Amino acid sequence: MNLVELIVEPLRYPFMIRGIVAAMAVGGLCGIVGSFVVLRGMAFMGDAIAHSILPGLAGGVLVAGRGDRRALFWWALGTAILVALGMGWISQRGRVREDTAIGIVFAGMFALGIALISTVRGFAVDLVHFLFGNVLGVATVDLILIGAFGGAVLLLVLLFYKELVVVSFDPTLARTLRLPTAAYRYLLFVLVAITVVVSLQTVGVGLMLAMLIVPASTAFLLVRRLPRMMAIGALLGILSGAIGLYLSFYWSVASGAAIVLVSIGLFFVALLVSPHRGLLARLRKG
Amino acid sequence: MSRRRTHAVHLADAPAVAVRDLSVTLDGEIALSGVTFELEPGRQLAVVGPNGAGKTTLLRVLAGLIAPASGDVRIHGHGPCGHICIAYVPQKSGIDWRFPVTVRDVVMMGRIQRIGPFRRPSADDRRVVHDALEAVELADLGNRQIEALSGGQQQRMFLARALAQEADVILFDEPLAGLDIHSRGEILGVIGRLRERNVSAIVALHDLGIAAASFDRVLLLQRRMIGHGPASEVFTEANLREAYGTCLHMTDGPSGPFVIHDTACTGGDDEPR
Repeated sequence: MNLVELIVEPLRYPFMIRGIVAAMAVGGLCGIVGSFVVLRGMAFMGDAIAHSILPGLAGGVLVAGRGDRRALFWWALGTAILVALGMGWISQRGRVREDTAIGIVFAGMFALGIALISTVRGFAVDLVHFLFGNVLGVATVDLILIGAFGGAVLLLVLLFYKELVVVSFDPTLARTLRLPTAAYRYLLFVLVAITVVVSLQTVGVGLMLAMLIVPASTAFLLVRRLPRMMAIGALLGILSGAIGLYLSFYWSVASGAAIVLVSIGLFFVALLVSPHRGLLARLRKG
Repeated sequence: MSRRRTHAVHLADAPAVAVRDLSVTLDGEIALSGVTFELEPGRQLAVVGPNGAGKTTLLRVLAGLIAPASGDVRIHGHGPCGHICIAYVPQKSGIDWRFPVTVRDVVMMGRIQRIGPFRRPSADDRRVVHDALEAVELADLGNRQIEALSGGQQQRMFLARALAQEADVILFDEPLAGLDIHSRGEILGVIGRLRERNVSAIVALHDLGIAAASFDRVLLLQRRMIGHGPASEVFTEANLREAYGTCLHMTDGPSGPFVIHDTACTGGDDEPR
């Protein structure tokens, strides 16, 4: 088989086309939103938001039934946004350390989700899809939801770009400029929450964190300006999504895992060859 | 300069900064009390005192970042929180220097309230940023990633950002800390030239000699205001002993008391933030 055949072959299956489109869209979105996650050190919060969706999904399954994908999406979205706002609120109170507060919400919600889901017969399958994703089960309606909400996230990032950057880079400046810093913080958390929900079906909760931080940190190694970091992060995310799905098709590995492994592979290449921060550059400087 | 969208309207004949009987509590403890002073537009004030004396606290109150427990703070006739003309440069800015932004990007950040939401910087904004970089002699480093700056260049970048913000009052916390003599001279030069722009500066300092030589007024703090006025009136032996206690080493110089050093015994930096 030549290269063209290798690339075209999986596209004979509609579910593969939908899967590849979803993986690429999610990869691109995560590369951009992930740039903020990486620069602000919000990785743990991203991971926690992802895991905290479980009780929302369980509630959706109990109320709407397993088959109603759109209902499940809304349940997940509502839960994620509530959790993001809640974590933002707790982390501002300062009674306990921020990571402790996030950890408590994270663990509590996850346990609640498992408790709820264990009351449903055949919950193991749902749980596996939730944890590891099921990109090949993406339906057209899912693609529409990914497009609509992913597009909304990108639009908000574009509209509030300079404010989000200032609030992330120098909160004190943001306050002396009388920007509504708390509002922008919450906005950023909500954007991460939406991104997580949209990406859930592709990589699953377990590997969600990787999509948020790996393409963006790879880009961080390669360039020194934020707009370029976002562009390259998006590109790497898209690339990881596509290559990952092909590997998954030909080698029968789990698709979410394949996507993440590709992005990690790209990260290590960047780590080696990065002009500013790479190992080779450091060796050359001595 | 271009569009001025200062939030609070400046009262024409009000002093740039007017503080009356200010006291501040942090975590239930009195951090500062009895502070009263005025600063006219374009004048420069050095705030001195030992570590923990409340210098940072005073600057943060003036910036509108913490609320006073009692007393009155007016910036151009209004409380600080309505202003976008106050620039505050903290000593430890808490900035991640690896953040992928250039010097020019950071200076442009000073303008975002003037640019307004949903807009991109105009040619005007870029010109203001360029002028600000020129004023602090950083124009040729505008495209550098900020990690590549020296300590003195970092401070000058923040000054440029304050200029780009079109700030009328600049609050500077220990801008000379950790810098070599050459960089100190550069920073002091740029701060001195703010007078030409009629910008008021309030600078927290450790060095009493620099405070006396380069500033119009000095304010001596030790959890309360010990003195305010020209350095010759404030830096008396009695006042300095009151502020620094036994940490101060004084000898008789040709022109009155001569301070050897004040930072010998430190109990850590100013209050946490």
